[in-house]
Amino acid sequence: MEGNVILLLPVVCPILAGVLVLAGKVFRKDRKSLMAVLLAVLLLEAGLTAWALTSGGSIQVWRLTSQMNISFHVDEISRLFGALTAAVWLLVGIYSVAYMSHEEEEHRFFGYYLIVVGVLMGLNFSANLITMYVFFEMMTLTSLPLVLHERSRAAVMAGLKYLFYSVAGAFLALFGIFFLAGVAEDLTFAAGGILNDNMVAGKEGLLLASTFCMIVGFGAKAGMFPLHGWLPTAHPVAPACASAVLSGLITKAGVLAVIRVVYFIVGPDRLWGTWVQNGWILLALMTVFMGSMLAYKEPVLKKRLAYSTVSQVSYVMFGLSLLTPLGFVGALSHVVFHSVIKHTLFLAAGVIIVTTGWTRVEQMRGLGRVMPLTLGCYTIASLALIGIPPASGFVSKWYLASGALSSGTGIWSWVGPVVLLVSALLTAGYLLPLTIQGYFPGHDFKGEEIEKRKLAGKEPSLWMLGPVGILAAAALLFGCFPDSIVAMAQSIAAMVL
Amino acid sequence: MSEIILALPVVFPIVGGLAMLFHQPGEGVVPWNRRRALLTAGLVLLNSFFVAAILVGGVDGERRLVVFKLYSSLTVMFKLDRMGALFAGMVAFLWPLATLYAFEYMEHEERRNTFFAFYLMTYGVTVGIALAGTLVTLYLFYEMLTFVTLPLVMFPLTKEAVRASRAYLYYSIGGAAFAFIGMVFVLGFSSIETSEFVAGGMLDLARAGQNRNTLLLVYVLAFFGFGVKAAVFPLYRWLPKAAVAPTPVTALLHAVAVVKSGAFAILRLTYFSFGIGFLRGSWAQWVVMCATLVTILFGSTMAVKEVHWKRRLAYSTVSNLSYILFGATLMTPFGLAAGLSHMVAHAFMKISAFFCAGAVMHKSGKTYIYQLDGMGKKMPITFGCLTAASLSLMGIPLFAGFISKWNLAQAAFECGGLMGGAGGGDGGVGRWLPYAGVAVILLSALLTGIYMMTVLVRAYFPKIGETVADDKVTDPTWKMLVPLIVFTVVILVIGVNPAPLMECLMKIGGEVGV
Repeated sequence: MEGNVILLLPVVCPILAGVLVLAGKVFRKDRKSLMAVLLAVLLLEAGLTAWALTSGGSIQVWRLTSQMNISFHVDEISRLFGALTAAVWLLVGIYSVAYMSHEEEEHRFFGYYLIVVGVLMGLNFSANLITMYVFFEMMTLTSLPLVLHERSRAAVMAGLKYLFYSVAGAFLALFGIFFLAGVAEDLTFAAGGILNDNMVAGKEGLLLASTFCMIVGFGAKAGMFPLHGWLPTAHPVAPACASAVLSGLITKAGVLAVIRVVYFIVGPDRLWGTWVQNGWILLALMTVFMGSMLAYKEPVLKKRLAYSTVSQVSYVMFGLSLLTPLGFVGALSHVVFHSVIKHTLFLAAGVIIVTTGWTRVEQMRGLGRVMPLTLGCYTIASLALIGIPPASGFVSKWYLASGALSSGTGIWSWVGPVVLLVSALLTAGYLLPLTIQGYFPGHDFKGEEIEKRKLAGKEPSLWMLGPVGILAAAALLFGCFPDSIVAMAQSIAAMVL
Repeated sequence: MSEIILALPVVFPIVGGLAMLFHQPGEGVVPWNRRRALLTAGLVLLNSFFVAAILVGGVDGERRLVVFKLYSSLTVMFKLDRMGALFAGMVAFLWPLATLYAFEYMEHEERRNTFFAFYLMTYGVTVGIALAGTLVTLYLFYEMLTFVTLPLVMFPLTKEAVRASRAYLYYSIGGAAFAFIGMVFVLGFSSIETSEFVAGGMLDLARAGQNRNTLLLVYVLAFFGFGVKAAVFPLYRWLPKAAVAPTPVTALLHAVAVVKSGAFAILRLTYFSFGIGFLRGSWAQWVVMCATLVTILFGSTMAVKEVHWKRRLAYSTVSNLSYILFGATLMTPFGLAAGLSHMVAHAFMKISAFFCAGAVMHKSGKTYIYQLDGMGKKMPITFGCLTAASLSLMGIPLFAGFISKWNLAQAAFECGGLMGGAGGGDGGVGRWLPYAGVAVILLSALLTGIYMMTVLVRAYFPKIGETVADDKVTDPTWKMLVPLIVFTVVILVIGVNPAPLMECLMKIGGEVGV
């Protein structure tokens, strides 16, 4: 093992802590100690991540064969994804302290919750294709218990669907990895790609097919058509804190994988103008539209938000597929903004379900009387997602649209912005009714149920309201002060394009 | 130099087994007691020691022992080369552990003396196949293997078991007939007096070239003939039927000894008799490659549908054996190495999976998948080992199965590249078939994930409302757990540090051509 050992800490510590929580019998009975360990480890993780991201460097952990080794490094992409992951994981962890008291078998949930953040950090820090694949598979396996936590029939079937789609996508991507391993000696990520013309001479067709396999395969995790089918089933059935991180962060792992493959291995110049790029743009736009439409028609709130995720993460995929700096900036900033926004939305939905038991939007009339503050946070996040300035979503959508218009990709340069616009309208259509009906339920609304169950003014505890509020504030403030995120994205774009 | 010691690990267990069978101290069924168990264990361990002693003496392929010559080219001889050493070493490592497992598994059975006598004899016969130096010897021990394992398949003496053993017999004899044809032709066209196996093939290429199509047809027939034991479609039927045998039989024999002997024979046929120089690029290569791909998909698909746990694993074996054969049909040195890496990896993964299934059956009597809800908590060590075996079979990195799949894919891409560059052989099929092979392997890996993970999810996350009965079910004793844990460790070690094994396998590949 040679290199900066500090990089190992944010990966290994939470995994060890998680295993301890799973194995330790004391955590099954003593809730207080479980919560103490959870929060301590999450805070530690945030600190270790900050330390690792600032100290930088790389480390080779283990050599499997002459070609395959497990190595970590820190580059700008790792910083972006790493900081986002650690911060959000801590906030959701605080939220789940109160939320999970309504669920059973918490120790198992929190054990895997800790393990998954370590695995995600490993993914963020991966220095080569093999390491990334190893952690990608590990992420699927360790997040499975989060999905099927409730062990109802629906939860287990949803978990299996998640597993099979994820594995199918990973194996599809593996085809591409096999090909790349055959042509390139060293699969370490390099900005702009590692291939030179000698390596791929005579195999250009196979290279394009392999890249497409990798985009669609890793895109399964990002909920891109055609392997998106697991997302609307799995996200709603998990506990709300799990749905939040599944939608907000684990889908981004698929995005990260696609970024690494396209921009750090194959290289955008090899894909420019090819059928791979056109196919990718088409799939992304189809998903954007389809996700928004299905969300608009969906009555169950959590499933509506899941379809929204399908749609929104493909905004990111669209931006990446343009292979231009503006599109790339839009994509990366939307990674951050959507993550923050979707976490807010799911956590708010969780609050609603836990306090009132309502799962369908039509039941939530007059919600403003029950929990005005929570609904306010939900509203701020909704406005951000629709793309209303000065909230964050506006910034990312602006870059995405500009990127599309200036991309030189033929019809996509105007079809893209049209689809984005239609989707924005649909987004308003599927997010705002809750707000409007919540605050202004209409004259005919009597609110008997709210009176009977004494729900008026029943805001959640600070454990839950705090993280929701912080995330909502972030959704707004990232839009007012986007410079740090945009600058980071621009510097990465300059590196790879 | 004639080396008598080569015959020792073959003859010793056969004689020992026969002695156990015929030494009847009194009337009626021979009683099984601790003394006999220790004797059996001692004989097995001693034999493994003999194998180790031989291997230590050198594996360069120059050590041979001519047992007898019938006339001109019909020589029965043992010869030790690297590939034989690999197979013999693997078998010698697994047999003592499997015997230990069988002691506990069979503890309530009658006629244990007969069982362990044939178990011991099978050991000797399998080593005989590993050390066989000519096709005649291989064929001889191949037939012997059928007869010596037949009583083991039939052992429960239920109607199902008898029917299964009948199917096994008919298929095996049928297959051997076609293998016989292959043997005759190879002997007829061989370039060496003794017709012994030579890395790269032993055919007289001048004469063989004049009868190319005939010989290619014979090769295909012999492939399918030996392929019966390797469960190639459509000759696989006996294997799922044989799942009714006691678990130590299904695990060791039908995941390791018998089926790997079939694969081993095909490797000998392809790389050491006909030779890849003669076979590569021919229509025969594409025919057999297609057969392996069909088997891979067929086996995996049937496994997903199957709800009887051991039969599910049997179909999985059908599929995985053709991974090995796919590597073989690539007909490159790397293809051989890749196929052999899966031979080793799969042996450990599948025997581990079968042993877990057997442990559950032994402790709780449950044989169907849907009976396994919540078992993970009751038998944690068993299911922990099953988890490792399942992840490995799926091809998750850091486990042995990933390494072998990686090798197979790299070998396939290399073969596709060779074929594409060289003009694709007959009709251009060669240009894309190896790539299709990689896609087939990945699809099969997904199906493997489905049929292995559904069991694990049931065991660890029983659905609320499903009855989880039998509170008294626990992990088995050390006799079953030690083999399981050893196998799991091996799977992990190969997965994390494959270099030593791969070095050995690449040497074998390097001998057989370019």
